[in-house]
Amino acid sequence: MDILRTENLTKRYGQGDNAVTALDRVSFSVEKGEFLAIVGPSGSGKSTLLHILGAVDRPTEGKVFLNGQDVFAQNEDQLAIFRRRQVGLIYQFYNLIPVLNIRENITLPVLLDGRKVNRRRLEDLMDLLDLRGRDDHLPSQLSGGQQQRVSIGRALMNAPAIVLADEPTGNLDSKNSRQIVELLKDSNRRFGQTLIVITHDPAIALQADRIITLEDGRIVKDDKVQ
Amino acid sequence: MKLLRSLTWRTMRQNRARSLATLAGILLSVAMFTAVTTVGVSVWDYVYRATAEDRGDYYICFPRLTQEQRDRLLTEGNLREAAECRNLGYLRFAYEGNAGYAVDPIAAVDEEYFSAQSVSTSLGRLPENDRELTVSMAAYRYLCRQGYDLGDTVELTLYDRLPLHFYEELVPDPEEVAFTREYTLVGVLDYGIFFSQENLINDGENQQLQTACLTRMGAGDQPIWYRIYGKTADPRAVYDLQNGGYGETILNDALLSVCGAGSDGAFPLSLGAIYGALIGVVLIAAVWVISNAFSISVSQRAREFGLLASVGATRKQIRASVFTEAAILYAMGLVGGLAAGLGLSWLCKALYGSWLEGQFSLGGTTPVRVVISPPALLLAAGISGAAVLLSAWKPARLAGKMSPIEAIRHSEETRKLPRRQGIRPWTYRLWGLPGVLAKKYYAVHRRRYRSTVASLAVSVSLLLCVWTGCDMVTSAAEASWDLHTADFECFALAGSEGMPQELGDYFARVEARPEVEESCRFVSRTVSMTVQAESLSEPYRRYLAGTGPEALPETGEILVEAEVVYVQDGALEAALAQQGLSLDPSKALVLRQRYTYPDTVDGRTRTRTVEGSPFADAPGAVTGRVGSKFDIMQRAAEELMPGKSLLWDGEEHIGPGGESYVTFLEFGGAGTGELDHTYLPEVAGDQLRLYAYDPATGEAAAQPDLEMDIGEPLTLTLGPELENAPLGVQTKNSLTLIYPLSALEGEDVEPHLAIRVSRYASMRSYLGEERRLALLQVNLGTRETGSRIFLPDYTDYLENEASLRGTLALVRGLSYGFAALIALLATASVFNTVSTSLLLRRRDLGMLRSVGMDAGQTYRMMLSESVIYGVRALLWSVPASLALCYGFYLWSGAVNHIDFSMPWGALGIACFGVLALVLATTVYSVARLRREVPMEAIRSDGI
Ligand SMILES: Nc1ncnc2c1ncn2[C@@H]1O[C@H](COP(=O)(O)OP(=O)(O)OP(=O)(O)O)[C@@H](O)[C@H]1O
Ligand SMILES: [Mg+2]
Repeated sequence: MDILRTENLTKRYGQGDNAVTALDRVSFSVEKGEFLAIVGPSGSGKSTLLHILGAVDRPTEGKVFLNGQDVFAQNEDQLAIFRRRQVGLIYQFYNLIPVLNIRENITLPVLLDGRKVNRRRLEDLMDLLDLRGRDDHLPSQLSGGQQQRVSIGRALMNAPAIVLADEPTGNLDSKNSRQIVELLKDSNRRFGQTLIVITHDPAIALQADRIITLEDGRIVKDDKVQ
Repeated sequence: MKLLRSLTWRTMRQNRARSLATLAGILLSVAMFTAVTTVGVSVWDYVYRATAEDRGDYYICFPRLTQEQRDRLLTEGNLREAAECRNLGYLRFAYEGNAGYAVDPIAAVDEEYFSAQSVSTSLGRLPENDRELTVSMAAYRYLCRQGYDLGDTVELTLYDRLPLHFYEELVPDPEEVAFTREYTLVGVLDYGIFFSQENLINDGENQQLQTACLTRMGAGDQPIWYRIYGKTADPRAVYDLQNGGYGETILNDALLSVCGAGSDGAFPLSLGAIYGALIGVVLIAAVWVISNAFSISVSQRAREFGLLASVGATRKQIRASVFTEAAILYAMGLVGGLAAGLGLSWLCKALYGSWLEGQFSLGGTTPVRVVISPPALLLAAGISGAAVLLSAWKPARLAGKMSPIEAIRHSEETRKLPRRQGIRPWTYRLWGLPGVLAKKYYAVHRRRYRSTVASLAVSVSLLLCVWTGCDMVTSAAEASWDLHTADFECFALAGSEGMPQELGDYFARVEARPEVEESCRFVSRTVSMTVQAESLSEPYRRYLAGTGPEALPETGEILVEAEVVYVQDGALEAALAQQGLSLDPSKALVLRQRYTYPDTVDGRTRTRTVEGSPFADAPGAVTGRVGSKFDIMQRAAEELMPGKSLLWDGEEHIGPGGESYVTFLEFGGAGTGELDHTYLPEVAGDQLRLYAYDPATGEAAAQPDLEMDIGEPLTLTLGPELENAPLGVQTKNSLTLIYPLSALEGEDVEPHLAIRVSRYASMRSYLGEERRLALLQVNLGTRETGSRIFLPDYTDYLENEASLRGTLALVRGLSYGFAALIALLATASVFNTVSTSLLLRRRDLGMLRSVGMDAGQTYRMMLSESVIYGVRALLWSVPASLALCYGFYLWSGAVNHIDFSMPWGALGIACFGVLALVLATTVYSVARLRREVPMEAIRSDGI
């Protein structure tokens, strides 16, 4: 069953001569529980696609359906709830809240949802992400890799239906990066999460169920991995 | 360099919001400063011109100078401006049957005189050379009857002396010389205006009858005496000139007050002080708003500069970039601000100009105008320029100090957070997540918010203080004014003859007018009496102690002053009956500070305020001796200095030994104006003894110079208190006793008539006409020689009061304008801060939204933040300003006269205003946030 489907997704930046078409009529669908890797050269529109899937950006044209429902037909508040419950977004550039400490940053979606923090899960995540003892630190006091791991923790904390990761291992060494991929895959398996990962690392891409290749905003290849 | 300059341009354009906010800050403060100074200068200019038109444009007048004195004055007097007028001689037109009185001086004046006295003509023009003459209306009519008209040349006979009639009592008159001169008649002086001013001649009692003819000064003049109207560079210097040996001087007190140099002018001075404070605050506020506007970008720009520095930009390059931006913004803000400020001034004039003209009874023809004062504009430009420079320097300096890595990691902001940042469950429970976020952001932006809190607190405090201050000033002023129940008081001019018949006729005419609602004839006298201090009842003692400057002695005779008003028979009884009182109607007592006054002048609404009385339940008796103070002075003076003309000062002074004495001033003779004789009075039995007294040493002569009877011993039984006095009784800050007029039976009295009218304007024109006609009659000489002269006159209390109220209204208007301005500044500052913190946090807020913060949570977060600073501002300002006001109330001594009134209205307005502001900023920021997609914000990199 398709959990996510896009229809002619188009995103254009700027106007007139300066217009950049970051996405050009992208249509595909993702099944529930699928692990999808998106690859492509720099500037091909991967991040743009991911942001639209995570409903933090709006497409110029086209639609995104989640469980058959048109995501952008919802109003702002419904979108906000969609973002905190359904999606876990890991940004290429972390995007942590500078005034909140690590623990607060990770639990932010739960807190925003007004729910109780699952202490066990938080502890586990902190362990898995190797962030122990850093609870009280502010993002600006962490290394790039640590910040990236915090943003991964934030995305996974709520066990969302879809995890969207934009180069989650871009700043990590190979050992750490293997661990993170394992964590994502584990979460994907355990919670039946749908996982979409952008990566430049062929080793990671090959672990996915399916690889979509973007070039100049268009899907040029859509392969199932055996 | 080129790259940096274009970088400056590009950042400015890219960060349009920031540039606009900064520009708005500069513009706002320049505009405000310009408007406040321009309006201030314009109001002052109006008051000055109106006063000058009404009272003459000079500070001091030397009415009678010899040539030697004149020359000395012009060389040594340090006069900045001097208008001269020379008496060439007196005309004695034989007005029909009135030769004795017709005395028109011909005065040769210079160009300056016309503006110093604002002389104008009702016919023809003013003289342009020493052959031309502009005459008074009376002289013109006379000359017309002789067959002359304007344009004709006429030979006039002049005399070098006034007729003996005026001066015989004063100076032995040298022989009179007559001579002739030829003049061309060119115009007729505007009688009304000229007459209302200080007259050319003011010697003698009948000065009001005198008129003047004007010509210009010429080489062949042989002046009899000189008169100079002067202005000193420093208005205060006139007081030195007064004793400069130039004989008598006349001060233009009204104009001196406007210049802040009045002899009694504490009021205009405080007006100036209020305005000075206003300009000072606006100045500080302007600097503040500018630096606030610039600080929008401080941290953000500091980061940018840090990055630039990290790729090798030198400090000089960075500074150049900063100042280029500042200069561009400053140039735009300055032009716009000056224009807006002047526009605002015009707007003020259009809105309030006619109101201002209506507030003052003076200078009906003087229009309000906007005065553009170059120094004020330059000051505005200079101050804002300096502020811009300083504010722009800050980010450059910060950038220089910051290590590039810090700039890149954006950590310098979060360092302000408290160290421990653990989740305290109760905090969340208490505030919720939005509240916690708000608190954190507040902590991060504390510095910026501090100025918001301060500006809010300052404006709330100012509002409270201004409000309380205005209330206090108004109540204190109203308590101290001589407020009248009557609208007009009619009487006969000094020097009138033919009373009481003519006076009675005049009163009857007035009373018959349809406008008159109520009238009462009365005679008012001031009485000083000596009483035994021990005989005073305690409340009465307290009352007396409050009226005098010195502590009241416990024993012995003390001098008490009282107003005694004899009112028309029946009026007192009516007043008593109306108030349900029925004691001995021959004696009644009105207490001080019992006053009634109209709230609006012509609208007939009257509010009555009654103060608590020290006599509340103690109608004691006062025993003492009563004599008319005036009589004592007059008689003493006459007997002491026979043959001299005396100007009695009559003021009581307290000597070094605590004793009181009365002073006399000698007048005439040497004309030095120095204190000549001082006497110490002593009351012994029925006698008043005056001892020669030297105030310097405090020694009195052993033997009295004079002994005199001071009247019958009298016991005054204090009757009931009247809440509302009969018409005509003016309840000043003194003991006022009311008797029926019939008590004066057999005495030669000149009563006054108090009236209350229904149509003020029409009554005023009627009374004015009566007076004018009488004067014209006299001047036209239609009466027979030796016939009686009767001159009616009146005092317009409503007008006096209206002008006092006008001044108060002006103070109030200025103060509230001031408060409003501060509130505006505070609002601007709050919006500035809020939009700044929004701009700086755009990215954070985008991120928060991208992880699912909804509108309600955003709203709550922003509201919590606003509430934090709003509450802080109130917590600071309200107690502080209330304490300040109460302290001022105690310190100023107002506590003796008026009650402290809690400024509830202002408190309400302040709280409501802060609440509204908090809500408005919240709604504004949430609305701004919701307009964009989170990713846009996240990508925006700060701003
Ligand atoms: N806000 C923007 N304004 C204008 N153009 C943009 C904007 N964001 C992205 N682009 C353009 O859209 C295209 C796609 O950008 P995107 O960030 O999706 O690329 P990407 O595939 O994620 O690249 P990378 O692998 O380098 O992260 C690029 O050409 C980029 O220049
Ligand atoms: Mg990318």
